[in-house]
Amino acid sequence: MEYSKLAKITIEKLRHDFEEYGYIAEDDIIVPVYLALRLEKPILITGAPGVGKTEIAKVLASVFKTELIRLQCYEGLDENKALYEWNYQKQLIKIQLIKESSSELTEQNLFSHSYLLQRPLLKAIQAPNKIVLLIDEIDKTDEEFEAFLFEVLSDFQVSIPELGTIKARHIPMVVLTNNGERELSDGLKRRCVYLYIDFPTIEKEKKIIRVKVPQVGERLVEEIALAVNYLRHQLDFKKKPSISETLDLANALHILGAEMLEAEHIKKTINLLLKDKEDIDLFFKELGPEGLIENIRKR
Amino acid sequence: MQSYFENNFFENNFARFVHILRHLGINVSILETLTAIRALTYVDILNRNHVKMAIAATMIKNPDQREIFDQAFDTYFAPPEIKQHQENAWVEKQAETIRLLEEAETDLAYKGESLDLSEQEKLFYAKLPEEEKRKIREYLAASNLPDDRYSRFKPTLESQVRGSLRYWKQRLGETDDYSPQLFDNQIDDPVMASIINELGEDSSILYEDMRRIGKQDLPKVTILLKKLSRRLATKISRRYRISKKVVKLDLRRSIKANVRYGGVIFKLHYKQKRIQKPKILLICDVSGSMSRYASFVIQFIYGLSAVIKKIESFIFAEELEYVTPFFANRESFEDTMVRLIGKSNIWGKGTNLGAALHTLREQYPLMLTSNTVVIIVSDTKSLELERAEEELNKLKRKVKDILWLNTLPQEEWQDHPSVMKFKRYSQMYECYTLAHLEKIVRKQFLH
Repeated sequence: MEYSKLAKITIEKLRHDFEEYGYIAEDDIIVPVYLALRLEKPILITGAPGVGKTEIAKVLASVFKTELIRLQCYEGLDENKALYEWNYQKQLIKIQLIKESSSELTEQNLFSHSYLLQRPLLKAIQAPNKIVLLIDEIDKTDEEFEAFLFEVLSDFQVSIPELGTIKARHIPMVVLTNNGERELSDGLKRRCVYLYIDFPTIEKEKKIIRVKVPQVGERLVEEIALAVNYLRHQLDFKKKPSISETLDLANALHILGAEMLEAEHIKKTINLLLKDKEDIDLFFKELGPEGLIENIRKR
Repeated sequence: MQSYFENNFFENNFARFVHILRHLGINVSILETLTAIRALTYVDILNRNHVKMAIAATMIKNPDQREIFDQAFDTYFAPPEIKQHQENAWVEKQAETIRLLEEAETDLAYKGESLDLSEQEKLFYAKLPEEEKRKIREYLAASNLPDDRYSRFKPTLESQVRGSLRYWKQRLGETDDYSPQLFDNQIDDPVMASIINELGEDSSILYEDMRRIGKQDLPKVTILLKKLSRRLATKISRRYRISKKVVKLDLRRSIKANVRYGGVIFKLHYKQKRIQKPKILLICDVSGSMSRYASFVIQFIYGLSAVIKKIESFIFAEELEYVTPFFANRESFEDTMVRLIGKSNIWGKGTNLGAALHTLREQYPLMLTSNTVVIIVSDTKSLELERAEEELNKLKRKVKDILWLNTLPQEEWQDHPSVMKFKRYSQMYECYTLAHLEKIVRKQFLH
């Protein structure tokens, strides 16, 4: 499906296309994404790390066969890094060259498109096609940048004093992700369609493992999904295992030649699921590999 | 009062639903309402699930509000028979409230004229046990003097009755989950009123007075507190913020970096202002009246101290005790509490804030710096008020800021001189529910 066919999408078609690109999603994810596309509004996706927030932007780019422009947010990110910057060095070289030759230099020559360094937001606005703009981890930026951002996102135009106003040729599909480290402003939230992604159910996780690591046998798929689900809900970890970590585990177990989950496998691979020493200690203290196996076999 | 069936068209129903959400504490803007209506044109309106998801995606922007939204949606978009039933039930409930109010007005009168009490106070009276009502009535009858000192006596009587009702409210509040129904005159739509009333009452433990939270809800509270303290911890643990208010060129670094280009300033360096993290010093009241709240607040600090090293904690009642070391071992919260209460000499005793602050100033002067934010959790009830006020003033001069989380409801603040005294030297916030705690964290620290 290409972006020109955006107007013809349906919820069913979108779900089908997402699945085709390996993203298993139920209506609770597909409906907000579909609405964001139809309403031409940014979609703000919140959820724990590793539940597949960023993946949605990547899949959208694949589904609509278009470019993905990514703006990774961090503390201290400003307009220069996000929107545009004048290529100061190139301008200096130009001045030096002009000095040495006798040709004439006007200010206009120095502030033209060739001296403009386009950053992701400007690139997205100037793109010739409808692209996917991923603004990743928006909660890492400061409030001031957030305010600037929602101005850009509401009008899809920017003003560069030396060049004038640049308006988007096509309104990009904007995906903002948020890990919930900071409360976002109401202004930004109001302008977006909102999607909260929780950890998947056992059934959904099984489906994801089957699609992403097809070489793993059915019994192992079932037991991995049960084990990860059990760990997420029964123990109080600082960082719960995410979907990507489940997939790492599935891959590792396949490499180890496992056909079913054994205590020995868990001992060898637990640090693929738990990435914090306190969490690993807690696992061995409260449950242990044998305990985990026993609990999932009961279910 | 209009019937539900008279205005049964889409825009009206939708606007009423938005109104309900706002009453339940979900801020929905006009832009979001319009977006939601647009969104509904893109989904199959007969598919209940899709309609619900479309409204949620465009109007609910906080996962914590999802539960209340789901309940409101399911109750509001119910079949007509159920709605009619809700309407009837609400009309009956209101009639009962009016009857109770009239009864209270007749009883609480002086020389044939009703006392000037709030509706809530009257309703509270009406729901008191008969024995207590009789005592108040007898007292009023005995005060009915046969002379003309009417105008002088009425306000005194009113304040005495009010005081007696407040006493009962506190007593029943501690022993029984008893609260009078709020009677909202502003909502005359029975369906809306009944949903707001029902869901408002049923609202989660977030809005429950902390001392009334039952044992069965404790695991839920633990999860909530953990979530809250982690969010706060993430914010505080960020190393520094770059000040963008003044972007200054760092000439020294720029020249140094550009020597290699023969002195042409080719690469610019800017000064970055580093803001130090505040040190947090928490002082928690664990006297008799506060011990229930204290266990929640300490649980909250426990979560914080897992991530932030620079947090010092004290508890106080008659004296001050330093408790930071209890949290350093990273035992489970239950073990920490058992050890803390076991070793503490002051848990559950009387309160003397003045003495506690004096000890803090004398024995821990190095902890009080211009970068320290002091958080006091207390209901302000203390012995030696003047001394406490003076000590608070002295503390205020030494530290960056004092935040006071007051477990008394704000409407009672004016009746306590201690609140007025301490408020002068601190930023005071009402904090007797988890929702309050959450709001303070969000507004004060996460903003």
